[in-house]
Parts: sequence; C-alpha cells; structure tokens
Amino acid sequence: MNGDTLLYRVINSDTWIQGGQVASQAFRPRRTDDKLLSVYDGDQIAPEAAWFHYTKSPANPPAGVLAVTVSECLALDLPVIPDPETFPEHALIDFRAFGTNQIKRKSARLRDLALVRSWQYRPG
Amino acid sequence: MLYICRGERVTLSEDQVLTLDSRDISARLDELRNMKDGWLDGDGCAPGHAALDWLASSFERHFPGDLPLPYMFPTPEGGVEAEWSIGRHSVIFEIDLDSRQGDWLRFDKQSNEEDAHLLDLDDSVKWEWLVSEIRRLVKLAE
Repeated sequence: MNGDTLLYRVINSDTWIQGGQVASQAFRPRRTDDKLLSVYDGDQIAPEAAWFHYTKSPANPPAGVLAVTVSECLALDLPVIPDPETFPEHALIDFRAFGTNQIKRKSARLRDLALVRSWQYRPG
Repeated sequence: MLYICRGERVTLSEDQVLTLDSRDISARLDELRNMKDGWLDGDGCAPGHAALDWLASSFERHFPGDLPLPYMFPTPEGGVEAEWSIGRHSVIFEIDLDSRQGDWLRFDKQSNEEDAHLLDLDDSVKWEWLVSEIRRLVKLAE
C-alpha cells in the first residue's frame, strides 16, 4: 500500500444516491464502527471483486464502488490501517482522532474526492 | 394527464413533458416511504410514514421554492439527512424525526471554518433562521 493506492468503498444502499449525488454518510463510520471506516485495499483486489465480496444478499445488492486514495486520506489527517486479520484485502480509514462535526466534514470531503474520480464499479 | 407536483395538481396535454427536479423534496421523501427496516446491511431503521409526512409538509410550509433544494438521504437511525453544497460552503443537516430536531453543520470547504446549531423544527423561527442562512450562502456564492 502506498499513497497512490486506491481504497474501495462499497456504497451499501441505493437510497444513498440521489440524482447523481452520494450521501456523505457513505464515507462516514456508523455509530457501531468505533470511528473506523471499512475499505478494500486496491493493491490487492479489483473494484468488481470487492463488490462481489461485500454482497451478502443477491436480492439486495450494494449500489456500487467508489474510491479514494491513501494520500487523500492522509491529507485529511486520516490514517489508513491495513486489517488483514478481518480478511486479507481489508483496510480501515481511522477517524478516531476526531469529533462528530469533524467526522462529518471529512466524510463529505472524501465523498467529493471519490465522485470526482467517478464510479469504479456499478452492477448491471 | 394529472400529476401532483409539490402538493399542487398539474394537468398536462399529451404533448407536454413534466420534468421533476431530482431534488424535489416531496417526491424524494415519497421514495423513502418504500424503505424497510434492515435496509443497511440488515441494520438501519426505516423512517416512519407519519414522520415523513411531517417533514414534507414542514419543508413545503417553510422552505421557499427559489432557494436550492437539498439532497435528502436516510440515516441508519431512521432519520433524514439533508445536504446542500452552495459555492464553497457545505451544509449537513441531520434531522431526528422523533424529536423533530435538526443538527445543523455548515462549513467552508476551503478554510474549514464552521458553525453548528441544534434547531427545534416545531419552531417556525428556527425555520426562518435556516432559510436566511441558505439565502446568505447563495448570495455569497454569486
């Protein structure tokens, strides 16, 4: 993993997409996530494979895959931590140094950067 | 042909085309009515229909049509988050549909200067404040 490594974020739900915009929540850890956002290490897996790996229910598939780079995270003071214990391609974007409002701001910035890069994979 | 658009009946002849703003609030909140509990990887509460009715009518009553409409997204807790991007400013407005409170966060994308407020959305004065802030951001972006 280096600064140019793409970190793939699977966008869970179509309801987080509206008219081409994506919810900043899609790049924000949930309350149960201990301020750690799950992503896939793009040096180890392709976006389509990440989507298939993530997909639990074929009846309710995720909306697609967006990406930010390690450098973009570091520029926002968000460390990126490999987490191969969960599964080999797993990594975490670490928001633990920040409070709620800063997390909202940084999640919106990551979303904006990911949308500039455009979708890495969308099913169908 | 008869349509309902922002609460008003619109009649079109056969050669007329109706284009809805993709951010039309009533239409968007109608979409969220189809959600079921567990919508987010088995977690995630669906927003209640009566609460969505209240939110749609509140925006209809208080938010003028000449201002940019927000994008509206469900939250895992069963609320709704409205997002505006206006010039160099972003607004994330997290609405708790049970308490009818809104958590306002506005920030400058370049300087990171921000302000945050908790708004009681049963209070029309708080809606007036929200509208005046959005209008101020629009003017700053011109």
